[in-house]
Amino acid sequence: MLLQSAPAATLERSKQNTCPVQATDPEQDLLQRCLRGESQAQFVLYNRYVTAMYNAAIRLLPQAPEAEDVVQESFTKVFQQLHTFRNESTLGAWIKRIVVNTALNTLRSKRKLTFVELSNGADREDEPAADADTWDARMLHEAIKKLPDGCRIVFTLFAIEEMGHKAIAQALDISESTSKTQYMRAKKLLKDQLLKSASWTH
Amino acid sequence: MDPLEKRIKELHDELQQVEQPDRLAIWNGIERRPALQAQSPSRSAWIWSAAAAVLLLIGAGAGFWWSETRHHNAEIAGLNELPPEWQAKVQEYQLMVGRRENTLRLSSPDTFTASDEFRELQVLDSLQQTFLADFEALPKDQRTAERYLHYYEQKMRILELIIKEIEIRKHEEQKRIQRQI
Repeated sequence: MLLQSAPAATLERSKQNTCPVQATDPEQDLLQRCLRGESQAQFVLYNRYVTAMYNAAIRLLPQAPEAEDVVQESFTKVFQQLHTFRNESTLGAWIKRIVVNTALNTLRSKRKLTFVELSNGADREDEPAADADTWDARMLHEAIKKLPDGCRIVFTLFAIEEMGHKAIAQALDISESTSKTQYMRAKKLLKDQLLKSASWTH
Repeated sequence: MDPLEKRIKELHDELQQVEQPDRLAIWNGIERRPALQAQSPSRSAWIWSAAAAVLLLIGAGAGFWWSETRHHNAEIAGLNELPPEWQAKVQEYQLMVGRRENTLRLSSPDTFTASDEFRELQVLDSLQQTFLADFEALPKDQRTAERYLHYYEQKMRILELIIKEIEIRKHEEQKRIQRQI
């Protein structure tokens, strides 16, 4: 089954080399094949990136069916809009941006995001010194998924997706200071959670 | 940078791979979306070239299954050392994996139909062998049990992809025969 990715005119442009995609290295060759609508190439591209994209989606939408929907919608957009990819970032970063935007649109359309403010002094860095080296990726991932909506999204976007507070504020329609306080709140909750699970494990 | 931020930076790449999606279900969903278009001749050509090599590689497939059986015995030895509640989980996964392996055996597998997946499976099995070799020295706790289970989760995912690939090929072959008739 095929997802038609580019109009004929775009393919023509790509043939004339106006598109920066060059058929020299294997990834560019894969892109060209995806642009021609080859199903196998689309599957290879999907298979290469799906795990990272799913992990990004599920940290924003911790329910697996919602995250799967986001990944499906995102890859559909990827195949439809691949002709607009201009190598200004890596392909992975470009796909990730689509996934993050799709996840944020889903969040906005399905539920009202609430950003619970910090209680006084809760943003102080006075947590006990944690043995952070014992926290593995699985522990962190699960702890992030358990955070409340607002601060989980801000934390994920800032700490993992490496967006700035200004961009986060614009994307979520909140102030920059709210983004920063939500980030502090997420850090505090995460550390509490990780310390508890570490003491439970030992 | 505080310890949490530092740790997240260190684990940045691992955090992209920590949870395994149901790749097949998601791909099926993508294919079912409205943007779906009719198949192009290029896909048929791909399927045909793959089908042509099937018979040549059955031998390699047989070798793979022999290797699988050999690995299975080592796994059972390690299983007895896990806490009982985790043993039950591992056994449950082993049953599920076993069912998929049986489905695959009945489908006369070859290593070309889903060559990427077969390669992934071999890498996974080799990693599991390393894990089992180190098993004695590892603490028999939840983390070790989770690593044990993760192998089966991964294996199920790959087997499902292979089964799906084989089904697609068979379906294409049936369609081709019908067209010839």
